[in-house]
Amino acid sequence: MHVLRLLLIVAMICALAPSLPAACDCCSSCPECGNRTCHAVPVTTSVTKICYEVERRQICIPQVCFPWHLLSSHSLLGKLCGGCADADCTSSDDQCNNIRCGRVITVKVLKKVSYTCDSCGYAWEMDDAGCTDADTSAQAATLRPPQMATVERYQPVPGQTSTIIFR
Amino acid sequence: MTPLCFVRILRINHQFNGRNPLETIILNIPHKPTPPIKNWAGAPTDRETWEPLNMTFRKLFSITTVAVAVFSCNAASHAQRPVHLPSTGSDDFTQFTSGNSGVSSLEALQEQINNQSADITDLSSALKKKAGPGVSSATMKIVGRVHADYWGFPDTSPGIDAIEGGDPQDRLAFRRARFGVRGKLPANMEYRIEMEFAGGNATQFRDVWIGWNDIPFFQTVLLGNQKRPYGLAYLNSSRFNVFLERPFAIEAINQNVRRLGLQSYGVSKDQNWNWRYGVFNQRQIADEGNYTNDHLQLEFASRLANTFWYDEVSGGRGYGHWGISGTTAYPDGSTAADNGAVGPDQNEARFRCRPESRSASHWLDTGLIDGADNYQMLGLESALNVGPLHLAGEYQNVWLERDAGAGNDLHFSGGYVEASYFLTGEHTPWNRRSGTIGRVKPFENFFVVRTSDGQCEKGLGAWQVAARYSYSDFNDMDILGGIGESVTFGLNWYWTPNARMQFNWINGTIDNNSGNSGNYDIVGTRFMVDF
Repeated sequence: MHVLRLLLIVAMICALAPSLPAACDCCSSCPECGNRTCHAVPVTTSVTKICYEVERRQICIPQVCFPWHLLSSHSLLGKLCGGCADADCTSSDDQCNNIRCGRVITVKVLKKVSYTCDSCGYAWEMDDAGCTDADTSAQAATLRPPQMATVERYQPVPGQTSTIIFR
Repeated sequence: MTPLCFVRILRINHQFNGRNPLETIILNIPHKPTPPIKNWAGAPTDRETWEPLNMTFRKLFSITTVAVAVFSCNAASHAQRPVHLPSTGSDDFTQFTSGNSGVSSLEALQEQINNQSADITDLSSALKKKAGPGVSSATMKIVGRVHADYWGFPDTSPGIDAIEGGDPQDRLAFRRARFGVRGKLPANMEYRIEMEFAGGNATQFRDVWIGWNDIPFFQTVLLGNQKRPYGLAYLNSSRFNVFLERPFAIEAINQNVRRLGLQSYGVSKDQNWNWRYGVFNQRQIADEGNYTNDHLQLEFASRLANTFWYDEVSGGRGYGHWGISGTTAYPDGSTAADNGAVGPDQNEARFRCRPESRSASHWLDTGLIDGADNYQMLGLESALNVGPLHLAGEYQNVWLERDAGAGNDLHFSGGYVEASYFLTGEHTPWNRRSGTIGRVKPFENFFVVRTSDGQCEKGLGAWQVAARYSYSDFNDMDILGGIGESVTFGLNWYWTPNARMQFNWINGTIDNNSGNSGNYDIVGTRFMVDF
């Protein structure tokens, strides 16, 4: 009975064996020229920055116009308060223009200006030192170890230290 | 129209899959949003006022464009001379309607359409990541305000210390830290929810209501927690008020202003008159969230305001206003002995306020007036503005009737006058739709920056000085709430329309608050922004 169980377990292991990854199976097929390196390539990037400009602008401060300023000189109150003369009231008596002049002042208006300037940075490029194209093209493409880190080209962010991203 | 021109239009129609290319052009004309008309609360409304104008304009423009295009075709077929239309900002549009460019113009137009479609797609995908209302047909606007205060009590007399319950302590605090949303709901509804986080763990709500616009006769109707229409000072927003805190009488008679109620808001077509009236529960439920009592303690309150002068010529730098407000209220009049039956402190016949600043206790306080059966309030208000000078004043009276055997009827009253002046020439704007002051816009914002040429540039902001005299009498018969009298000097520095700093110095006296009297000096500073 024990022998039968043992045989059964062995049979199951044998059946499952092909589907399990062989431990360190990749080691034997690692490329001999797999010692890849990265080197930094200086690049120039553009950075958007903010600066300020102050603009001088003239604005008009209207004088307050009291109701009697808009009255016609025909009306009693208009006469008393120096309402408009008839010559100024061609279109409408009640809308005549006896409005006092406003005052002009100069004020500063803050403006935000964005501009771009060049910034030096580095991009990291991967190379296979000591390998010929023939060595790497076939092996590196197909025999990459499962645990091996892939290197993505890093686009440096302005103002930050360049680093390599591993996945 | 020549046959050649007709064929050309047919061909264009075919290329646009049946859609009239002129219609396509019209649809692609940058559509400027119609300027919103503000309702009583500052929200856009009255679509029917602008939408017909907008549609009429667009129809007229369509007809004009068709007519010009036909004329263009005729002219092109006879003289091969381009017709120049008013530019819409698109060269493609002009080229197309000139009738000479043919397919190349259409291709350019198609490219423009494709670019716009791509932009719309990008915009749509970007909008999906933004906060928005849960209902696609609703709108949502985020609002908030932050008021950070310092209050100091450099000098108080022993009587004041007794009222306060000890020497008044200086304090740093958030007076207001509000955050909320408001918006429109289909078809003529609106909503608002605003929370107050300044209380720390004791979070409360403020404006929480649902509303209907453009209701016949009633105009705008709001249901929910909203301001009672008691006079000018409390209807003015804390974002715009000239002084840090409201006067004695205004605060005491309308303590914490907002109540659960149903209120109608109206304004005349010429905006000379505005009114609001409604029915409210007298209990402040911003902290409790509900009101539980068989006695509903209802009141009917209203305000009628008239802008008798508004200087359109200067853009509202001059105006005059008067208003009358009132209420008739029915508190439950319960006594301390009744607490077990109707719940603690349910009697809303109580008038109290702090000393126009932030203190631990209320320095004018009638206490719960036992046996209060009903009371009426009548208030008169007025405001006058001439350029940078602003004057305002109010006076309010309360007549309270008590149950037989509870005591004599009572009369309380109080008011204030204030004047403010912009040293930098701005003016205090006036909102004719609500009869309240508006947002001050400095001629020059405050800033200190170093410009690109290395210069240190400064902006002044707007500077305003102000003074107020306030008086209130809450002593009558056996009720000794105290008589308060104060003078406040204020200095306001408006950095931008949405940010400012305020400083107040208050000198006042409290007389006979339950036998305690004294005088005091208080200084207060507030930094505030709103959005």
